[in-house]
Amino acid sequence: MNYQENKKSIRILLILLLIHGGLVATHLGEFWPFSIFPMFSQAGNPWTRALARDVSAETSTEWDQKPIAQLPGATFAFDEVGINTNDVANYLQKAGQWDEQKIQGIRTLFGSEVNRRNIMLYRVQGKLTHNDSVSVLAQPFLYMTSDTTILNPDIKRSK
Amino acid sequence: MDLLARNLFGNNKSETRGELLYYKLFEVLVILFTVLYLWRWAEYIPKLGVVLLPLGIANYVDVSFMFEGTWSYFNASLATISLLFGFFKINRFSYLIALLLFHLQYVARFSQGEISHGSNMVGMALLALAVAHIVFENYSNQRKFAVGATIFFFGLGYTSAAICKLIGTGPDWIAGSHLWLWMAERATDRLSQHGAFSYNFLQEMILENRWMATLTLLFGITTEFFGFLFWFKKTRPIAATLLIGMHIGILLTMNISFSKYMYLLLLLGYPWYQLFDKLLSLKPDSILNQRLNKLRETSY
Repeated sequence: MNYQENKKSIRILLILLLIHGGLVATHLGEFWPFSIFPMFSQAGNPWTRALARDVSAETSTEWDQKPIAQLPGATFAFDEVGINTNDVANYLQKAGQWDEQKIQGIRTLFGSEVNRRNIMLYRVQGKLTHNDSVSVLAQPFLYMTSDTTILNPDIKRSK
Repeated sequence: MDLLARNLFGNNKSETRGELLYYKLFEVLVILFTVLYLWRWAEYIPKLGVVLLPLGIANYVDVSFMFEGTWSYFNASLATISLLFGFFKINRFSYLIALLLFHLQYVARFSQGEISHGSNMVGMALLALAVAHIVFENYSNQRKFAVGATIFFFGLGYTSAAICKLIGTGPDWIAGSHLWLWMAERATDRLSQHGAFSYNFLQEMILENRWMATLTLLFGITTEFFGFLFWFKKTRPIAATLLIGMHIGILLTMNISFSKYMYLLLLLGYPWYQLFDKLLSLKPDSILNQRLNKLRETSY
């Protein structure tokens, strides 16, 4: 490129940068493909993830929080239903008040698998303890069978 | 500004066959990655039911129609055709149309609350191609702008990520326990996704030695901070090598793969065109040379 073309290129780049700045400033840092790339910027914050267990063989439903190694039931991998664990985890983190539509949204993610097996969906929470080690505990969140869906009684539910 | 322009878009010399081949490889790679994302997401979108987090255009338009029937496949088909139209120079707005459809596919796929950054740089590269095709008449300038603008946004993205970390947490971001907490998060994700997980040797070492965890984070944020060195020809290969190293580190410690970033860094970070020129000069009458000569002469 000659001098004039280089100048033109820089001008266009500045316009793109302005559009970039305007869009990310008005959309909480994200307007794909523009982003300020804030991932991992909040270090040390507690996190919430999702985990499911096949509890078909269990005779009772427990709602108390436990370490992952002590959870009842058998392994259930989200790969088996072709869903991404991030999507389920985000439901648990960002859904706020729970209503029928959101509960059905989770059932939709699991597809017909909930008709074949009894599944307990856990909300796993991790945090740094006061002595700087990591604590990870799983709280039962949603119990799903072919004809029943029970939300943990401690979770806020809107009518 | 002039220094930056020369480093991003090159000088007044005419384009060599090696450079042309390099630019074409970049264009093909961007198209290939875009198509891969479009169709992977097309398959996933019908599994979704509710928009939990509206991103981009979804803030203004209800994109839940994309969850119904075959809309996601239709959108992917349309975008793929637009990409081909762009590549074969049938219409200069084709890449822009493909980008808008790609955006729609992204906001539908990531409507569940997760903000994925894995495809951002492919999107930025497609944006650079779209703008280049609209603004420049001359093919050689189109190519130089597309690659230069992508390089610019790559460097900006990494430096911006480091600044976000410094603003979000401060210098304490590098504390080793932070990495332990993220590793436990990713371990939970791997377990829930695949049904099994075990730490690798490096992860075990980091979990046992706080100083290793701190050093890993220090390397990461320093490399990101100096991402702007990717803008300059002299420092670009060094920046690319460090950034690729950082991505390998992220993969090994947190099991997060930014493979498309690594491939693009690998292509854009090194002067491959010099190697291509040498290889092409070995057989000046080859079909590839003839094809490249013909390509150099064409324009809209």
